Amino acid sequence: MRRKFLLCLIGLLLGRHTVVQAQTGLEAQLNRIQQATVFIYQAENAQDDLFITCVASGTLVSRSGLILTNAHSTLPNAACPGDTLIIALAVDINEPPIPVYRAEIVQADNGLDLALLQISQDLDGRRLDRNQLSLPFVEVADSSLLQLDETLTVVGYPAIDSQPLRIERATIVSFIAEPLAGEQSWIKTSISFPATMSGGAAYNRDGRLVGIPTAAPATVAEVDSCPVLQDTTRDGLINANDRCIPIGEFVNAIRPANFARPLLRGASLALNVEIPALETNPLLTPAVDPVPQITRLFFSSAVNEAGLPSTIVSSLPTGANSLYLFFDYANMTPETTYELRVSTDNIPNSTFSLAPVRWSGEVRGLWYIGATGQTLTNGIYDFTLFIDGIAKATSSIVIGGAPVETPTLSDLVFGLSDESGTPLGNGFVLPAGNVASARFIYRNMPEGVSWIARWFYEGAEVFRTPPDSWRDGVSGAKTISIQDQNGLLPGRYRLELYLDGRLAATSDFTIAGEREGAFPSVFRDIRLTAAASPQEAIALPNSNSFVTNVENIYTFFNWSQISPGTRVTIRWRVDDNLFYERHLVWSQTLQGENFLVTLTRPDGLPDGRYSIELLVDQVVLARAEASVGIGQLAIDRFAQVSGVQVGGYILDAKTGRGISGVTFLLISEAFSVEDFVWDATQLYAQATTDRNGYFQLERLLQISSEDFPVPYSVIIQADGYLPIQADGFEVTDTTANPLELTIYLMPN
Amino acid sequence: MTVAIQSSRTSRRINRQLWNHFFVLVLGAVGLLVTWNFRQSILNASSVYINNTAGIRAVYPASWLIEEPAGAVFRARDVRAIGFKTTYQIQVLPVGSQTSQRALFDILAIQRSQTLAAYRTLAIQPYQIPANDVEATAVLYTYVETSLNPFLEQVPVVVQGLDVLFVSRGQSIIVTLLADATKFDAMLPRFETFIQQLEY
Repeated sequence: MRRKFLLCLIGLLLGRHTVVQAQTGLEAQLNRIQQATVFIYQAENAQDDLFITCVASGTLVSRSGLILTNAHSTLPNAACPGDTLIIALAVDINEPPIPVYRAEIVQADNGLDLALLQISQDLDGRRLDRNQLSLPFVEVADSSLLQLDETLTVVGYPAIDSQPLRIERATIVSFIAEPLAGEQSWIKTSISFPATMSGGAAYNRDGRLVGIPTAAPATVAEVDSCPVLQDTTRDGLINANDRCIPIGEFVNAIRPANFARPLLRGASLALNVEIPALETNPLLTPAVDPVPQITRLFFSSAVNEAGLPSTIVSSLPTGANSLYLFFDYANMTPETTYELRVSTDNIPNSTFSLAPVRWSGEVRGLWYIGATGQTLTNGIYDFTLFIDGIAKATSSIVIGGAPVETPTLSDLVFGLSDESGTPLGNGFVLPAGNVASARFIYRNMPEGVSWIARWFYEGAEVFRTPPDSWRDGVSGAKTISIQDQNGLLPGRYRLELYLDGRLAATSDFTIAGEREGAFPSVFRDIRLTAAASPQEAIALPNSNSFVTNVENIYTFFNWSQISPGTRVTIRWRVDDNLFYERHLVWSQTLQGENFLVTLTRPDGLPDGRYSIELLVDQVVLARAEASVGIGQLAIDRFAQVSGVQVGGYILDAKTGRGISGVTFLLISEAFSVEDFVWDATQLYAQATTDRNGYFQLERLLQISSEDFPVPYSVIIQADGYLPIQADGFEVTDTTANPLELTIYLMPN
Repeated sequence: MTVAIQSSRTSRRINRQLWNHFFVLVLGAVGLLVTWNFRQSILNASSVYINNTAGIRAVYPASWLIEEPAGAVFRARDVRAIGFKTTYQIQVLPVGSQTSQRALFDILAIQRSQTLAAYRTLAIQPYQIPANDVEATAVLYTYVETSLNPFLEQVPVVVQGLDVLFVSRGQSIIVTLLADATKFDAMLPRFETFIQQLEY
């Protein structure tokens, strides 16, 4: 009898294999993707009631319940003031989602408009052990590998009113560049999506998450995109007096997934970075004038490695494929919404436009938005910048015609000049001293053309060369300097070069640190230590290794000649993978000692190689590294996202009804049924049937091949039924995914 | 004479038949006994778990799935059970010199109420472990077990639990039985045997 059922099971499995079509990439992952897509309600507690304040889509990115979504609809803010996050899942992918869990925010970046949530409670408020969760999740891919014209699959919930999730196919029509991430700051798609799909996910052909559809939130005033669902005034009526849920209109911009990877890494490892000075020094967050400003718009055909314009242009010839709009900004906040509308010959150009999104820069500075690698058709391009829905500035450029050899100044770099006049150093951060030099390339310069150089310090002009006629030849490189016998003050500088009164080149640089050859020594004596408290750690020398499960690594460094307002960046990496990046506006004293940055995890830092980098204006100026334990992150055996999902029904052979509470044991490929000694470490996965007899294995099965066979074994034993045991249970690349089994148990 | 002979033969045959019947009955009874014994030996078959680090040796039912999860030294589950899987578990917790057994239970109850739905303590009473003549405390409690997999239609199960706590070598040992509330009483005798055979 047992043999009969064994054969029955094997025959059943093999039979399944022969009738299915081969599924690869996205197709194979689609079911899992749909299950991993969640709907998020942000709600507000009011007098024992929960009122929905905002909604968004989201995606599970770890089996333990990490959800990647937008920040604007989850973090409390003016438009979305809720304090409770409810997670709804599509229990049946053809049905609307059902609220199942509550979540809390573990990582967020307002500017990037990304947030990572952790499922932390059952719907009734009972706390969950995240290590006990085994939820379907998707893998985050390297979005820098995306290409123009590549097809993306965008998944999210299209509406707030009980609709199942939607799958849209779209083509990448352009990449929008910004200073934050260079050429791929935004992905533009050929079609737009409903705004509730904001926070969902875009997938590549392999079914891996490559982007997060992102739209700025609608304001409550935009009634058309702000439906009213609940009687928040408790007057017995649902009308305009009740609070509506701001949704927005549409999404056509996708934030590349690479922005989310550091957040995800930090959250999955539960690493925290604390900077006490941020809490004790309010000046680090400068006061913001409520009125955002946009000034000094100009175009450049290229951007250098420091995110500064290489060559300023007022027109480009036919066939140009690279264009950037630069502008100065002030009084911007992460909640500011900005939008770029581009028209070509007065016809809206969606390829280069950017729908309203959150501001991801600093409070003030120089910004750019543009694109490269995409041919611009001939015409007059009008670029209009909108801030919080109001047009703030417009600039135009003509594309077309033959190349014109106009006088050009370009490629500004800064440093300390050597004897030959060549600036030395890192190009954009100079040490404090009496002199700073700038070198630029000039081309097509006619003799006698009028030019001047204007030097600025912290926005105020400090030196201007008298108008002069050009006498250095047609093309070449030229170095100019600014000197101050009392020493140039540390801080932010700008050089503008004009030809015949027209801005021809401009770039910014920073003076910080003491001179060490041609380079600045800004951060010194950086040391990593571990102790019971910062007070004890401060006296300890640098260490490059720590024991496993150390709870805190205290990083101290001294600094010199850093002006308040200087942009300092702190980065942490583990095993060379970025997991923390924080941009600070420096407001400590000009120099000091023992600035503290603490890396912490209450239950001990995981083994790995940790490094901290200190940057000024994107130039790495100091670095320290130490290993914890064996110096390498452990492999998460549950992190596998490729393979076959197995589920199915276990039925009573006599009645044909599902048997509830039966356990399906899948033994690891390293053991057979005979080897199994009922030790859980020998199991690959297990599942228990629900009231319908349905089960779903918690892990995906690895694909078996001739070169790499993965033979699992199966044991199904239930009181009152004859057991089933089988070796050699394999799934191949032709196996249906998900694989649904139907197994009959014979009553004993 | 003939009759007498026939009568004697008949009597012997009757006797033989009686003996045969008796033998069959005895054989049947012995068979039943052996079968019952065989069944009992299968049902009560046991395996031994030894953890030298924790200094624990336990005898648990064979074919129960054992694991060493975070927060517990040992856990054995009856995966063949339909519905909730009856579970034995051993935890070892450090105790302070001023920590009473009652205080430990209060701490456990507070912690469990955060993660277990409808957690209720039913009774706390002294418990004697005869084998070692150890004074222990037992707490009887209940909670509702729900599936963590949202994609399954799982009906919550009312679980009844029994913790037996005693202090040994400066650490508290908590031995736990978890079972479907409807089957709890049936599971209790074997769990008591488990405790009596426990070496620590």
